[in-house]
Amino acid sequence: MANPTTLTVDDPHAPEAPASGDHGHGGDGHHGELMLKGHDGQMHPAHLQHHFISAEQQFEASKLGMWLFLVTEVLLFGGMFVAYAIYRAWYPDLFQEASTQLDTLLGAFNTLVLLASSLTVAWAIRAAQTDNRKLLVGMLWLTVALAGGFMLVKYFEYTHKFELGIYPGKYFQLDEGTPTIAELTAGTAVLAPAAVIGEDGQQLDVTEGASGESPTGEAEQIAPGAVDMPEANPEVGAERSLEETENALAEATGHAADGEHEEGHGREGAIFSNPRAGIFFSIYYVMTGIHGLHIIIGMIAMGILAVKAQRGRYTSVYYTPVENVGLYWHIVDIIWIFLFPLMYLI
Amino acid sequence: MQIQDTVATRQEFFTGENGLWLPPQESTTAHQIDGLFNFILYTSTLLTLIVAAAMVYFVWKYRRKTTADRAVDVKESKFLELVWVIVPTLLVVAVFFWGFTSYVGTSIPPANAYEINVKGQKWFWSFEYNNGIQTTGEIVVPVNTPIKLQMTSQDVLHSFYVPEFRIKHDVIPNRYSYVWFEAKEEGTYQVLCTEYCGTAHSNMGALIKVVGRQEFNDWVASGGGAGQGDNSLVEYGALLYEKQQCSTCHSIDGSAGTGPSWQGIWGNTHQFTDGTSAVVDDAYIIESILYPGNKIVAGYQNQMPAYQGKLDDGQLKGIIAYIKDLSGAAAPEELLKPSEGGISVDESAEVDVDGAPEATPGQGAGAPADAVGITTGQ
Amino acid sequence: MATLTPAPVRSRPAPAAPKNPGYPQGHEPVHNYLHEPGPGPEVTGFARFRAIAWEWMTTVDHKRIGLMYLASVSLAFAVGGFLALAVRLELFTQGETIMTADTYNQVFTMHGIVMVFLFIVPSIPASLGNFLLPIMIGAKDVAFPKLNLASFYIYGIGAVVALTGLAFGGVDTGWTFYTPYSKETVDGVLFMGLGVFIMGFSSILTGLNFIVTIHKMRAPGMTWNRMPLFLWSIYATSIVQILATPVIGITMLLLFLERVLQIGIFDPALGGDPVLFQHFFWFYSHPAVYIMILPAFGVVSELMGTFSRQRVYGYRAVALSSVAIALLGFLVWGHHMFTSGQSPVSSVIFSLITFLIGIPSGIKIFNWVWTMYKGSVWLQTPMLYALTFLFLFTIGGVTGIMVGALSVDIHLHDTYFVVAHFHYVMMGGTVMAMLGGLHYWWPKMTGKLYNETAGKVSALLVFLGFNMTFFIQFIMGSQGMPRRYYDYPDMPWLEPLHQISTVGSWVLGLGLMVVWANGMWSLWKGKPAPGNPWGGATLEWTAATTPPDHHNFHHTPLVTHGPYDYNAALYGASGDGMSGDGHAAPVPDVTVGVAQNERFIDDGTSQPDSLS
Repeated sequence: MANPTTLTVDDPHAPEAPASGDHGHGGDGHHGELMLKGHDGQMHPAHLQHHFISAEQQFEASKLGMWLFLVTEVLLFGGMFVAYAIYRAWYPDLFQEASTQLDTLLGAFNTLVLLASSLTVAWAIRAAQTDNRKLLVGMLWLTVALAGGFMLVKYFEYTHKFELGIYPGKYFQLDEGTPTIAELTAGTAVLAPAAVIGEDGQQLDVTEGASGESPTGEAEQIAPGAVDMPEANPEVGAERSLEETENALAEATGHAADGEHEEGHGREGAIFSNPRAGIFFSIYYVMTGIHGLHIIIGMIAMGILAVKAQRGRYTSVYYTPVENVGLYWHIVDIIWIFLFPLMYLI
Repeated sequence: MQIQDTVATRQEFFTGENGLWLPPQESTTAHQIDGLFNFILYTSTLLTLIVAAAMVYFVWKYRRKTTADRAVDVKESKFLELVWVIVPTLLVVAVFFWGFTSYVGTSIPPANAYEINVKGQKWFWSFEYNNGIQTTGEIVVPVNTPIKLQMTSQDVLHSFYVPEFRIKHDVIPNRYSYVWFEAKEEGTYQVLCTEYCGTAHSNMGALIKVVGRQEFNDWVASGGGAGQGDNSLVEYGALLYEKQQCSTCHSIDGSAGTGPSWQGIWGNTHQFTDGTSAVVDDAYIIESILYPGNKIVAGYQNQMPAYQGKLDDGQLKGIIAYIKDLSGAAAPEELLKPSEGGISVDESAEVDVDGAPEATPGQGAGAPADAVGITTGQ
Repeated sequence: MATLTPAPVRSRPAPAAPKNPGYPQGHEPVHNYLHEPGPGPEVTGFARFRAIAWEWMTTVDHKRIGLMYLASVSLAFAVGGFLALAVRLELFTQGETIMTADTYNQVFTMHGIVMVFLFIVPSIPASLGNFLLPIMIGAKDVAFPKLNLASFYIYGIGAVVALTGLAFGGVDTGWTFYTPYSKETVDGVLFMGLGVFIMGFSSILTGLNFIVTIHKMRAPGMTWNRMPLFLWSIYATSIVQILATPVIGITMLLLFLERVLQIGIFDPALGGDPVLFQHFFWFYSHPAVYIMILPAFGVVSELMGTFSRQRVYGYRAVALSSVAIALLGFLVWGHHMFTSGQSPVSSVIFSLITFLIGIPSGIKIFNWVWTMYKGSVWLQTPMLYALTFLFLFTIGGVTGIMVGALSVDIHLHDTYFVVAHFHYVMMGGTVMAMLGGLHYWWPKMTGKLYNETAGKVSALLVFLGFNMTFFIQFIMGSQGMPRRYYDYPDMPWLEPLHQISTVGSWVLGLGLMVVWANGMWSLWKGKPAPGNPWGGATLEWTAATTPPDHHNFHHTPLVTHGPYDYNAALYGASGDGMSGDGHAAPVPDVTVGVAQNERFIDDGTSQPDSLS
């Protein structure tokens, strides 16, 4: 065993390897591939680095490298998912309540945007494989645009939360004038699950109301028996109305919770009314923040690809970077697919 | 009554049942751990010696004489390989079960254990008995009685470790953890902190004084020995200086510490980090003890724990008297009145008269705190 | 490096090599990777120095990057070593000896951080691994040479960021950064955490590069079963690097955010859990222990084989046990937390798996010892270090069993016993193996021979000093001396033992100084090395020049046999090579000592007859 003296066939670079491709050594440089003369006197495609034996080897190596890199990405986010799981287990009510502060509609919209961008990036790879340069460039820019759309929505989500005073961890504090979660539940009870979850559909309505419809009406809907509904602000705009809506929601559910106090929600109330409410938003900001960072990196990478593709750098012979960035983009999407339900839905 | 330090902490080596390797077994469970320790120790010593002997023998026996030397082809022996897979496997599985059973056997406290609450904070241990007795830096427990310590931390992680009892557990903020032990003999045992906790980590000790049951009951009846007893106020202050772990951070010889030294500060003006200043007097000292975060002396961190609720007026007076004494200042007569009796005004006045002229600043350098108290007091 | 005298120009026997037409006119005289391509004879003086320096700083040659890593980790080792001497000196007497408690806390923390993150994690893989891996599998370079250089600079940037922390109050948390202490102490923690985060990328990229290289770049005939065991261990290491390092990355990032934004994930005051931090930390840091020790296993396998002139016994068992250790290593992190408040059930499970991991380690030790059986054992310096490794690692291993046993660990946890245990594994294991490997491959890397006598003296001093320093700590630990103690006011009777340990650290330091001086002497005055001074049988000895050319091989070697076919391998020396420096005489070209076994194919474009 230790000293086998015959060649085995499973060797990936057995000498027949270079012959398998039509673009190996001595290839004729079709598709306008630039050929260079290496120091061994052989002709090489311009993209073939000196230390690789063949273009196949180079392609496979980069792809394996990319997959391994994606593994590290999964583990990076894996740590955060573990943190999420643990704190969700520790503070289930807190998580349930705090996640209602997230805008499910915007999240769903962003999910669609990212899914669409996955399609466009896959399309771009296909375009590279079929030497369709125009389509390749177009699809890459389209992907960048979709990613930009995602980030824009994220920007609005973030700024809106900042306006409400929803910061991570210690700094978590709802704005003055807006009833804070702590005030809502002060000394008494948590937002009663029945009052919010039981009217889940209506709560979705509320967020729709934010995008244009009358806030007050919607709020009344979900607040049966609620008293002292705030007057609609004269300068009602889209964002303003959302805030108003949430005021209303908050007050309404707060009152509802008061009503439920006798049923024994006091303990959860203690959790919810202390600064630990920020823990959900800590995890939310960290995870979506790092995910957003990945989106931005992907946008930069794809922008570079698009410029290079415009110059005809990628052909069906050599499109490794397009493929790799595509892989990267898919993993970024997949992570969002997990983030969205964990943060927004459940 | 005051428990005497009749049995000092271990002062020498090789006193345990295992000589070189482990401290004496002073708890009822220690022998379970030691048994496994010894088993692994002997087995692995044997194993290491076998490996070493084989190495030496092979190196000598098959030494290279010329570069023409060639190795003899050695067929791999399945038997040999199986032997050195199976034998260690059996050994480690045995060790695992032994470790597992003794872990279970030593970590579950008996139901009737006497409970004491323990709080770790930078950098001392404080204890609270169920009847309200509070101590700092030492506990008194009865012999041959299972004791369960319910522990939590005020600030960072600490770890409660008593080598002679073979117990250790991390002390965690916002959580409770416990250890338990049953001491076999009367004596004084050292508690150590084994989770790194900052500047004075290595000074974060405490003593466990194991006494007879009768003696323990007397001690409890006396309120835990926290009173002034027969001591003068200065002695009382010196005692508290040790007992309340002031000594961890504040020196009495002028040397630098985590907090300002007490030597010679009475009547000085302290500059604070917020730019203000104050003269060191009764009010300032009391405020600094009860609410240490209010005024931070420039050059120091806000690290002192608040003693509010932990010290009564008599104890505060004792500390003030002790600080004055360290500065050679004469204490006003009204402060010298013992709070709980036990010492006459005359006696303490005598302390004052005798002590004041001698205790010039700097004189006390290097002298242990209790020595100061005793020599000036009697 | 520019000061090295050129090694003798070597010619190459059949088949005739092309005359390197790739180089521009005036650059043809190719010596080896240390000199080529070089600035050309017309450039002189400072401009020459600058050109050479620039060439090194921008090189993508894995051998040069390996040497630059070697220089960096050696520097880190020296810094960490001096900090260790300071720690030991402080403990020489009770009370304050040379520094205050706060300074001491910073010094032992920096010792840990420098040694773990700057030295031992990158030590063998990044220096020896980078240098040898492509040569050993018959490749011209690693798969991603630019990424390789980037890893080096990321490592440098991480180190600089971490050390910036010293200007912001330093760091006094211990290398474990346990929360909540690390959250509330000085701001240097921010920089250290960020530095560790950045260096993690370097580690990940190196591991990724190695895995891809081993998978995709092996020379024809280099099957998995013919890979030198060093590569198996590097492969296993790389798996761990890729899977574990991202977790320390996110942990450090969260700690950073915890301090900056008060996110409260690890801070109990905000509802977080400090024990979660420990889980995160050890999920990386226990596998990281295998990042540190696995490459050492590989080095020792090579040394035992070559210096016993015997096939490594149980090749497959040794190779696969590396992978087994790497994978099992992910399941045992909880044994650092037996006293931390994790659930007793998890403690029991972690303890069981910990014992299972001892078995492959034991298999390795027995196989290495048995490799000498009926061999031809040559006690040169590298072999001395390898035997030192075997002895010390055995002790490190069996004491690992002790701290892995649940109930015993309760007593030993966080005492000097643990300190001694991991120093026996990390220093007695990894550092001894690295020193052995360094002596072994030194002629290959520099083209110079070191002084054999000085080498042996250093091995002896290191062995004595090490045991004097650390064995006594087993006793102190079992007696209850806690680690990270600035002083031992409650255990005054331990003072003499501390003093023995401190004196031992001086002997150890002296031994390491001898190693360093020997290396420097070798660079300046050392005799040129023959191609294969030890009679090694792996490709770097049999198919590459000494030192290797820029592209390692002019022709991709075709591998026809396993890595330990010593009977076919020839010594480089003409003499018997037995007496001290007797083998140092410059010899004619011996770079393809196994030419009769080794055929060459021409860059994959022409194929050997036997394979067509």
